[in-house]
Amino acid sequence: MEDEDFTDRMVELLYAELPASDEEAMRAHLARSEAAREAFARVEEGQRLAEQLPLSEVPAGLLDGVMAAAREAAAERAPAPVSEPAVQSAAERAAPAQAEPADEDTGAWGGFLQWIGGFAARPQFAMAMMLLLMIGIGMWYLPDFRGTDPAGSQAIIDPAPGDEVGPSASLQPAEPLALETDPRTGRIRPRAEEEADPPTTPRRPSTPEAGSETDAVPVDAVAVRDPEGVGSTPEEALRDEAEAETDDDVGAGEVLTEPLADPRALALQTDLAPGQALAAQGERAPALAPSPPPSAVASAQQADRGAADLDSVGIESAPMPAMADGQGSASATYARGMERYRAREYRAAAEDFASVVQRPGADAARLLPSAMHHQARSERAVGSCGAAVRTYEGLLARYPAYSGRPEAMIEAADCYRRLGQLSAARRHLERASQVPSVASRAQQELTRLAMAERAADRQPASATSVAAEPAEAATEQ
Amino acid sequence: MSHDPDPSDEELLRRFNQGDADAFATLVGRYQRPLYNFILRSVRRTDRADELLQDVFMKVVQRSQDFKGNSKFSTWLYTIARNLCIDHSRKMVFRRHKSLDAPTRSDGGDEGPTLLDRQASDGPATDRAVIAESLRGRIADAVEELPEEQKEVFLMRHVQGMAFKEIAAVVGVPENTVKSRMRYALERLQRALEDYRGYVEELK
Repeated sequence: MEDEDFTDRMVELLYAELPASDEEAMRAHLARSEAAREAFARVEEGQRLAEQLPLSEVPAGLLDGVMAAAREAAAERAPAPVSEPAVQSAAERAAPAQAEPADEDTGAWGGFLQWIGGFAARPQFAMAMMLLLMIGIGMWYLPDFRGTDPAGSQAIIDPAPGDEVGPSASLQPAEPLALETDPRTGRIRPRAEEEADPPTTPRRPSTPEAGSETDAVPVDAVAVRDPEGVGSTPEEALRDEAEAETDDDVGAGEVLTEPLADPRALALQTDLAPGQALAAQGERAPALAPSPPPSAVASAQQADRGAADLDSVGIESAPMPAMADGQGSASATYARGMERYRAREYRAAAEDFASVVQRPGADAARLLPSAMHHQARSERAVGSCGAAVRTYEGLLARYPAYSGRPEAMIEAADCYRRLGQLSAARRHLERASQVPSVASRAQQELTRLAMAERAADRQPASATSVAAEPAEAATEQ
Repeated sequence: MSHDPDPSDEELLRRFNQGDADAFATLVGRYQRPLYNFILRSVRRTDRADELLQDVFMKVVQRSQDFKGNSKFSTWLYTIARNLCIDHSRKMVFRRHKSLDAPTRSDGGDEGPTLLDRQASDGPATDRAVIAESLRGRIADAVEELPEEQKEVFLMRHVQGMAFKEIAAVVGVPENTVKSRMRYALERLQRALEDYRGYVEELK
């Protein structure tokens, strides 16, 4: 054995942890080696010192708290003593499952309800149910899931100029303003003041954008309004009837609110003196055409209500007014245009609708949006996309509240796409996609447009390569 | 049901887990003094040692059901104590260096003379009792000055009487490493107390 080996196992010899044979070998080496003896003497002295290490006593009461905790823990862990009452109570706890079937009326249902109650009482279940309820309510408000649309979202919610969404027509039904123009001052005043005015004062006709239908009543037909109908002129009686009917039944496809602040109309109002008649129809802008007389409107509504444009999707054309008192030429033209449109005689129909738009009769004001729309459609149908685009833009700019506006935007986008003006098409489709009633269709068109845009992007490169090939071939030749 | 008059630690812990509070009291009686000294020499302060001793036994109460019997109870107990002491040492690492002006402790934890005073008064002692008292204080100081890895081995062996194999299990190093550390600790202790060589010779 070497000194190094002895040193490694010296501690085991010191603490008597060596096997007997190893201990003898160690002691034999210890007797032979002086260095081993010195090393062993050092650790032996250290051990004697270590044995003198004083041991401190644990302070009294130091572990009282620990012992108390131990007793509590032991009490919790100790099995409950099995006494007779405990056995009985255990049997009672197990009994309900067997005892309840005895109550045949409530047993099965009671057990089921208990099980459901215990399941439903879990907070996870409650949270899941709350989440499902919220999702269900949210989906119920989606028209596509409801099937019906009581809120009338198909009728309106058109983006107003400036990208603001207007109020729903079904929530805010259009009511004629109880205002009229003071014939003496040319200012707007409450209609109630009319009764105090002398009936002989001539009134200045107004534009359809600027006022109500009563503004267009001929001067000779104006009389003092009699609420009970006594003393009213026949025209007023018809007008009141038409107003009542119009107020109660605002059909889809009608212009619900006309812009009151048309600058041209206001300018015209300012320029015209009280009682001054408008210029010839051919000199006026279509938008400034006067409203038809109430009598004509009423009779037209009674005659042709329900005539809808079956070709349009979500757009119902305005009721075709009948001719009345020689003022229904525009209405007749409109009706003829519709007949031709349905007969797919689009070119002739476009001419009829253009005639209505450009030379509207007194009864055609309410037909103008639909006439313009159908004119644009007819032009589009015959492939005159340029003319159709102009008509669509005029329609969209002039009638922001027109219920067929979303459809018109999509159709105008299609025309723009055909003309290669993809950015304009995208602009219209993006605006249409914000209208729920046509959002999905607009998205489809946007996808189609994106494909067209990618094709347009690839086209120049392919055209260049195609053009380069002949040049190279010519060079080789 | 008859109980073994001298049950093992593991048996006592099993009884405690079954609700026998007295078994736990027996365990405490067996281990509180060596464990307290192990902690006291490790952390060097009686107030900290008091707290740590309570913490160790509280952990035994709380985790006794986690003890699976794969090792000896003493190994498990000292592992808990060692980990707590290490945590404490890490917290007090900035206070480890003792100033020469800092008061030293007597065995009871009271303030004693400074190391500077001791150096000045170092000289041949004439009174045997005084020398013995002084030697115990120096031994305690020398043990406390041992490196941590030597000190814990030394204390487990001399305070608790644990076998080297068991110490190796607690410390987590090979048994030979434990024996080497023990040898280094003894040699260091012998060198630190050479002044008392004559007195130590009388102890033989």
